[in-house]
Amino acid sequence: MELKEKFHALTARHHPDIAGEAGDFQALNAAYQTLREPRTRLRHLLELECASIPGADAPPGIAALFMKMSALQQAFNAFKPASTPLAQALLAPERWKLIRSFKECLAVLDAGMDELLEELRRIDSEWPDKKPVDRLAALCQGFSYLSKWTGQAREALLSLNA
Amino acid sequence: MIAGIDLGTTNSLIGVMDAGFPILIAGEEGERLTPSVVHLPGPLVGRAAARLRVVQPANTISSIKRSMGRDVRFHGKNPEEISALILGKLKRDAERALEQTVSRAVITVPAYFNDGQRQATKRAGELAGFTVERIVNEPTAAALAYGLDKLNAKSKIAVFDLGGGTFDITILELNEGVFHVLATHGNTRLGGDDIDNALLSEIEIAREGDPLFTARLREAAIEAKHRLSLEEEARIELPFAEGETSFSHLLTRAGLERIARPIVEKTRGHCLRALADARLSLADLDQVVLAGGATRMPMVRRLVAALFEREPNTSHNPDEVVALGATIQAGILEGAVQNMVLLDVTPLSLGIETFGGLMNVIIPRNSTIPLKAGEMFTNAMPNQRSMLIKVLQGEREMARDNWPLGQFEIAFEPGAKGQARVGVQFEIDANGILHVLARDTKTGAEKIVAIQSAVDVSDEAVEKMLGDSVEHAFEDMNERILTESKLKASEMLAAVRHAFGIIDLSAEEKRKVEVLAREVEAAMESGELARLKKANAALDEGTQRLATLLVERAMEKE
Repeated sequence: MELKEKFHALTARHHPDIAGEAGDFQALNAAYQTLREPRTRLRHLLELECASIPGADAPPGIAALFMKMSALQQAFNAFKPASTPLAQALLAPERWKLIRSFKECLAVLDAGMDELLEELRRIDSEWPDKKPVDRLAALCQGFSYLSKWTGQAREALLSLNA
Repeated sequence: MIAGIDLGTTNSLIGVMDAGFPILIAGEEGERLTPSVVHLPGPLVGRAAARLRVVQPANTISSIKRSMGRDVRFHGKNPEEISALILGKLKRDAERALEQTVSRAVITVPAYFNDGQRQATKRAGELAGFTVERIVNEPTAAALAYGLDKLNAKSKIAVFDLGGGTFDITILELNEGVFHVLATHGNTRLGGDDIDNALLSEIEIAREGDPLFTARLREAAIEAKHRLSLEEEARIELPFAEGETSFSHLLTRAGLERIARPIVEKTRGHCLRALADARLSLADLDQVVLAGGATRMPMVRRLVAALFEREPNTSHNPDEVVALGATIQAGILEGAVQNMVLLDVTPLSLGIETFGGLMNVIIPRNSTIPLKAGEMFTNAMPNQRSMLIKVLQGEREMARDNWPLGQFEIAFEPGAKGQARVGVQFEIDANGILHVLARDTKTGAEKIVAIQSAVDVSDEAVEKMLGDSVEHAFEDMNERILTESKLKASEMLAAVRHAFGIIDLSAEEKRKVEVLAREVEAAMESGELARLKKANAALDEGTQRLATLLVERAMEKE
């Protein structure tokens, strides 16, 4: 949480309500938003390192996950919640099944995220002696997909539990 | 001097900083709460107008906040102009009390207000003669008031703000005087008014064509609702309502809670979403604070306690805490309050419409403001002269499902396909209001792009809104409730048939349910709302055991 602490300390000095000027704070805010997410942080690093960001294949396992996620999302879209207790009771088994599937999916996504972070740490420990930009581009893609699906799965769980 | 104003759906307040502390100013009649009610022509504002509500309901406007940002008129005035009358009264009250001109203000809005609603509020302030120094979100303002005396602490708090017309949930982190909003969620059409409407339709004796009786009944029902926060039962009495006879109805707290539950329960999903967006779990929160008059209801407090797994902090008056916070923000802006700064977020994702009618998000919801985001546009065809950009706010995938903020055109220099380039900056300022700048990539010159308002309110939207104004409340609402009740009836009848195929009830039990189901069918046929509602409620009640058996059976199979 070091990054957030720093952001708060600088905000206390540069926020327009205190400093009067909006420009500095907007730059600070943009920097914080970029650095707090692995995906945007990596993208920024790639922009600094390469003239054009190399195209990359998504990390292995992503394609299989994609199939799984879209099938689940389809089942979720087809699920129509009921408004009366009796109709809800009838739908309970289907709802529980969806909740279970999304929870399993979230666990897989979390594990995938951990793997990517692990690789990022490895790359970081050898930086700047080794600069595997292709790997970074692939990681960036991976983070992109995983965060998008994590968001979708969370959203689905929220409405199924509501 | 900058005043802090809570422009509420039901009541409004104004305050100023005094020797480092926020104080709220009482109006002429000695009360800090000014009813957000306007009587036209006149105009009369506040308590005087509220008194006329039961005498001349057609000329008295309440809950105008629910119409902000929409293109409607009441007695020839738009919602901004009517809100400006309320703000003008607060201004005069403050000037009288302080014996000086008050021309600058911070005004609060629901956190979930969109760009159009914020702009309308700002314009209302300007119409009332204020320079609007800041539009601040209500729950965030409440957090300022709660956090004022704990500036050195590090903590994470949730603000549950259920007012007369709107609901917001905001999660923020306090750190050395920085109030950093992590996420906010809400519903601009969910509040105490909805409970009042449900209560009135339940009491059932609202008669079309008798607006006077309806207005009196509404007033009495609201008063009973308030009493039920402290008492177990309250009698709604209208002396000589029908000539010789008086109207009397006993309302219990349990009865009110049964009516209010579906409305109050809607807050749950928003709270869970806000927590997820803030990436926090319940255990990470240090406290939950309440704002808005509807949080006085014991059932709302119970829901908050159960949902957040702790008792809410109720140390501030929920009617006043937002105004106190607005006043503190005014103090920050004028330099009277130091070591405090507020970092808020934009509640809704901002994007543009792309090919295929999709929404392309440029600034995601819950981004810290003020901020800028750039987007580069190029010509898709050789020598294309211009491009129309539609700006949207909302979370839906299809552009048409989101709120249209407006559109603008960018001009291209003639050139081959992909050669002409115009950079567009979308800036959301500290008020949560959007500004668009176009930058010519050759000269680097930036110019402000005027957005043409996209307010084109459909008939349906107008109808829905008219439903909020007192004079039209009934005819519209009964229609809607009848449709809803019919849907509910069809769903239940289908569910009963389905459930009979799964669960073996005793012949006696089955016969009882069948009788209730037949009455629902007959009531649906008759189209009588009161009868259908009663039949629905009876079938709902009568199938409780069936529902329990179904769930038990499903759990055994798990």
